[in-house]
Amino acid sequence: MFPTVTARAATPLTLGTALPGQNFPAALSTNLYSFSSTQANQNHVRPVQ
Amino acid sequence: MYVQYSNGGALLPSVNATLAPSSGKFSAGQPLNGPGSFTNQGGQTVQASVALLPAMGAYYPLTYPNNFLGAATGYTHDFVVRTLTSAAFSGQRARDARHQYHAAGNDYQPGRCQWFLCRRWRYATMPGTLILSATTSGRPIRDVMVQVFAPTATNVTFALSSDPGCAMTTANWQRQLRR
Repeated sequence: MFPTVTARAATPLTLGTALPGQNFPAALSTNLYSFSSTQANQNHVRPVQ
Repeated sequence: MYVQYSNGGALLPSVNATLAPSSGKFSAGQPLNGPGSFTNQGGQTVQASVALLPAMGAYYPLTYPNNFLGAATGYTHDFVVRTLTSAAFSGQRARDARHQYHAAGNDYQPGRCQWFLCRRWRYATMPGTLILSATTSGRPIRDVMVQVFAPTATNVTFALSSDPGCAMTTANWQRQLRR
């Protein structure tokens, strides 16, 4: 038996702003969010020799 | 990035999370688990985790309670994500220990996010040590959060110590998060 997958929209996050009142209302429930980073954090990678 | 879970309901254990990159594939992402509660500098009892976002763009965190249960009440919480520009450590290998790296004191600055990349760390066969130190004239070090990300490893044991010889390991996750 394969798990059932249902598409759902992600809740958009505003960086730095708390989202109150989040909940897990039932067993196996999850919450999906989305946000965008404004820049890469791994530019100028310098591997250690 | 810094993820914080606060105002947790009475039934809520630790919050686990996973982070997918812009592809939406969680298999290409990172864990964001909140392994234990601690008091942040704002005096709140919180759970938190950190991650390095390798590229600019969309990310998708997915949260769930680590007991996989839930209820109409008791599992509530607040959720916030913060991002900070980070800088790379200038790690240097010590001469007397092949897998021991030192982050120079001037590089480690409180209040900043910093990361260290080592492509030659043979964590599969030999333990590695990263030593952080700070000048005593600066702000005291507290609330250090560390994430170790080793994509090809199957098992990583991770411990923090705070004495000069790096011999005394902290006792639990909560204290590790507050170092």
